[in-house]
Amino acid sequence: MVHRQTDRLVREERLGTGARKRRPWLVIVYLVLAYLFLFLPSLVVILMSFNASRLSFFPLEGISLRWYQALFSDRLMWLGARNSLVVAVTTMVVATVLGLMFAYAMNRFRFPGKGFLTSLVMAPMLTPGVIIGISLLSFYYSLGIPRGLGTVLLAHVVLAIPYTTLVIASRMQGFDLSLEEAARNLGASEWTVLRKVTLPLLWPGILAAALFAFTISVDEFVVTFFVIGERAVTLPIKIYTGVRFGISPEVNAISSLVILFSTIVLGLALSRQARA
Amino acid sequence: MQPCVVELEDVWKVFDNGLVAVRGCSLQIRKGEFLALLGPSGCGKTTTLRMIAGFEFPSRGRIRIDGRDVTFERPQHRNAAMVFQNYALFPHMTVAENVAFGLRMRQVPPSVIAEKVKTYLSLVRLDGYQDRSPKKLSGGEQQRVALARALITEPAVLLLDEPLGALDRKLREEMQLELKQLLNRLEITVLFVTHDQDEALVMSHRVAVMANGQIQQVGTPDEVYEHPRTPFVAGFVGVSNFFQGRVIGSDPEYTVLETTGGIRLAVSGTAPVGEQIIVSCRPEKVCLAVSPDSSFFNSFPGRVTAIKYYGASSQYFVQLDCGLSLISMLPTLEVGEHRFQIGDRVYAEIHPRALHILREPGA
Ligand SMILES: Nc1ncnc2c1ncn2[C@@H]1O[C@H](COP(=O)(O)OP(=O)(O)OP(=O)(O)O)[C@@H](O)[C@H]1O
Ligand SMILES: [Mg+2]
Repeated sequence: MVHRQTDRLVREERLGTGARKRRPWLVIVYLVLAYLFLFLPSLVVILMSFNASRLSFFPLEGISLRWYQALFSDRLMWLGARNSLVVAVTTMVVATVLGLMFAYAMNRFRFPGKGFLTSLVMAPMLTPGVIIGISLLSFYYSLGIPRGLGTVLLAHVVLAIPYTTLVIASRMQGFDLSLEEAARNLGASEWTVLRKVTLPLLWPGILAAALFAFTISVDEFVVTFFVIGERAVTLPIKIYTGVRFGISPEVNAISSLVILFSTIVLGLALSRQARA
Repeated sequence: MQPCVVELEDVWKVFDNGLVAVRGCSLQIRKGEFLALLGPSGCGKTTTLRMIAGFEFPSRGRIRIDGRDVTFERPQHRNAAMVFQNYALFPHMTVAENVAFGLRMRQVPPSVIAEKVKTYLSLVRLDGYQDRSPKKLSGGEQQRVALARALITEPAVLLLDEPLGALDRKLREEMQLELKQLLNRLEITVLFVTHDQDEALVMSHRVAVMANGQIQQVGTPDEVYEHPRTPFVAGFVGVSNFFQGRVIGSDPEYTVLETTGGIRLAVSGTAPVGEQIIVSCRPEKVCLAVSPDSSFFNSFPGRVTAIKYYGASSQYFVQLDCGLSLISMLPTLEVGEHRFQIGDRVYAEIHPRALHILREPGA
């Protein structure tokens, strides 16, 4: 008897049909609207990328892959994509390492001017991109540094550091220092403690920070626009030049690919997290 | 006499904020000894332990382990294994990896490590737990893993910081016994921090009572209980009756003092005439009688005001006619014998040898 009742409760819990679980219709309607608001634009872009016509209007005039073909034969587009990837990966590595060092110093040490230095590191997060762009531009100009991918990389690192620092610092906040002490107590040197205890425990934060830095760099446009100069190109810059005179269907195609790419990356990251 | 394993010599610790956590602590722990450091919260027990482990450096004084001066030695070069209050198990390693950590740091060959891990896990009754994650163990199991992890390095001294503090009362009492037996069997030197006086008395060979950053008294559990030397020890370890007064007479064996209430007390021990002193006496040493006994020097009339029944014994609260109040602890009498009721007129009798003259530490 009791057994059967338990069975029923378990079943209801699984189906979500228990007494306490009346379907909240309002919430569902709200969710649908919110998701439409978020994803309808992306959906339109993806649909349009398969449109046979040059004009981006509904209804579609037929399904075609011609814009993808055009895209793959566009050398400048490839160059932009490759540059973006190179800059993003480098930014990711540099900004994550620097962020880790900043976060560690802020978390572990007390030194004069610490508060001031902290706000200085965080400043790029609050400064409008246009201002950062202009100041970097005049900085490079006054030092005679030639603009190109190098200057873009420097700018992206500056932009990403506040985020990597914050993400890693928040992970360090909850760090139990007695774990490091336990390791020392068992005979580990400072360096070994860092390798075997501190870094492995900070690893999820480091990964998240790296992901942040990568995404910030990959879609950075405003600051990049100022510091990239005439000779180099990144994907966002190339796309922008593509839409300057009306939306070209090629842009729809590349946007769809980017959406696909980021969905896959995000999916991988989430499934990793779910397993951990 | 066994040689000293740990030696503290006039150790002080002043923190950056000016707080003096440990003031002039001297302590010797002998080989194979189980010494409990007992004191109330915030008295500097953990700080003392952390200085021995090397996580804090003393502001003054010396610390020696196995005769070697380690006062400013780094933690990894001391042979003092610590079990942390929160166990501090590495959450990203399995139980076996946790236990193996100390040996890996000592470059012990993997085959030897595997064998020793097995031995020590079975020593703490955790056979088969090798591949479990410490996050998913109960408090008692985590505590045993932490113990195995510390023991496997065969330390000169094992430092335990309230290792049973996080366990519920029943498990705690079980673990007290088990821990004591295990550590005695291994003949390991132990410094055990606790604020629980029962735990300290039950488990240790010697107890060091600490208050306000000072060691008040070091002695075997019965010495500390039967002959408290400072007012703090008398009040913190067990329950005590206190009398305060001025010495009015003294001979080589006994001292007579006149208390604030006007009664005269004979006390064993000596003190200079005219001095203000505090004496204490355990409740179980206060007898209650229905009629005065002229052969008894310390016999004071009073009235029972409250009774606490504990089963095997009862506590009687007595208001003396002179205004002082006393607690008396008497075994519950056999059926038919006289038992006191609230309001009964009684005579409280205290043998002079049950009264101890107390002095402030360092005096
Ligand atoms: N790093 C520190 N900086 C400043 N003060 C400290 C520091 N560590 C401890 N203290 C202070 O030193 C005093 C002694 O602390 P300690 O941790 O040694 O006490 P304890 O006897 O272990 O108490 P408990 O039983 O509560 O653990 C406390 O007043 C505490 O606030
Ligand atoms: Mg403590």
